[in-house]
Amino acid sequence: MAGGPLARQGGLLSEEFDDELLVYDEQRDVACRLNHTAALVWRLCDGKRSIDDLVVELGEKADRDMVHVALDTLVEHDLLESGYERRDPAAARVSRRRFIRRVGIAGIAAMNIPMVYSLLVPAASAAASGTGYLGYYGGTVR
Amino acid sequence: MHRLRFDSFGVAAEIACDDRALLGAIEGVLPPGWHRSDRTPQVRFALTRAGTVTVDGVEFHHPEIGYEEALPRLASVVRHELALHAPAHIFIHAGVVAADGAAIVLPGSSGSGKTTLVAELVRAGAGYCSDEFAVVDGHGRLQPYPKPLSIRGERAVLGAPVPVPAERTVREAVRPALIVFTRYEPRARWDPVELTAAEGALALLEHTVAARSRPGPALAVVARVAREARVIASPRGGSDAAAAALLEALAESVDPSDR
Repeated sequence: MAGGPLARQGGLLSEEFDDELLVYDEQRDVACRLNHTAALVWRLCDGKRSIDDLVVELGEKADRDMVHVALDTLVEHDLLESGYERRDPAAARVSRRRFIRRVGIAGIAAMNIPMVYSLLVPAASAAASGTGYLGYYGGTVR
Repeated sequence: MHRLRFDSFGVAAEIACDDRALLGAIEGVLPPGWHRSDRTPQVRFALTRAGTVTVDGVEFHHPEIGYEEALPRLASVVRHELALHAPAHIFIHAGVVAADGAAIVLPGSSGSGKTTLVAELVRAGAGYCSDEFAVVDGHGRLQPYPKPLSIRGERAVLGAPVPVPAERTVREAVRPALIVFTRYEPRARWDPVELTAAEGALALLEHTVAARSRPGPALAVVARVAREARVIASPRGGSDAAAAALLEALAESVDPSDR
């Protein structure tokens, strides 16, 4: 079946880590860290697999809500080429809430929830005054 | 105009000035590792006795400050431009100290207190590599960049010099063992959390001078450094307590077989 979500490849540089992925968007100068689940979904987005196919590929812990959460996050960070449209925020929130309710705190702690953290890479002249990192220092990660 | 041509980290540069007597002072603030060169300059700087600093013809500072104050600004601009254009190294804004060939990297913005912490670490026994840049070569090793250590006051252009004994200045490349994201917060307790390598690499990118202009090499280098090192983050209170904790963490991070 054609028309499944397709991961964007053009204009991106990436570095693989154990179970995470760092992607640099050369068009926007934004760097994104994909956690294990988000990276897994992104790699599976070949434009052929449907959402149901992705659920099957991801195994027994996955469901449609989880895949939607991943795809919502990926499309928000401009990491999908085609095959998935940005959804109504209310629908996205429902999927996220249902998924979190299902996996519980343990699931979130186990990083089952797909997350993408992004950073607007500063211009060279501003790199000296970077804002710090994560919640510690009011960084620009979202 | 009188001209001084030099190379530093593979970048050919020229500084012109309108007073020959200033050349000696300019030489005194050039980046670590500079040497004279006749290569065609890739970047041209100028300083006038009146205090004007230009880079490739673009004026950076107006002359109201005079050359004494303009000199450290010229030095800072030169270091920045060379960091941006160095072909074989990636420069990350960070303090770096080392012990037994293993380095602590302290990425941080100007004014984040990293120089204070570097000075405290050196006082506590670490070797001094840099208080401005982690200079990473193609093998993921950190090249020493020991510009004179100085701590700026709130408004001062010239920092107060911190003497570093010659034997405490690191002259060889070291490997990254511990990357620490930290910032001074009054009454903060040292309570580090471990970051993943990907978290560390993303955070390093924010302090990488050429991240936008050369994203491919920059991404590869920060990934390599973050994979090799342990990455932690914590706010800190006093620099003496933080320095002791960091040296302990460095010792824990180093495989005894690497010593």
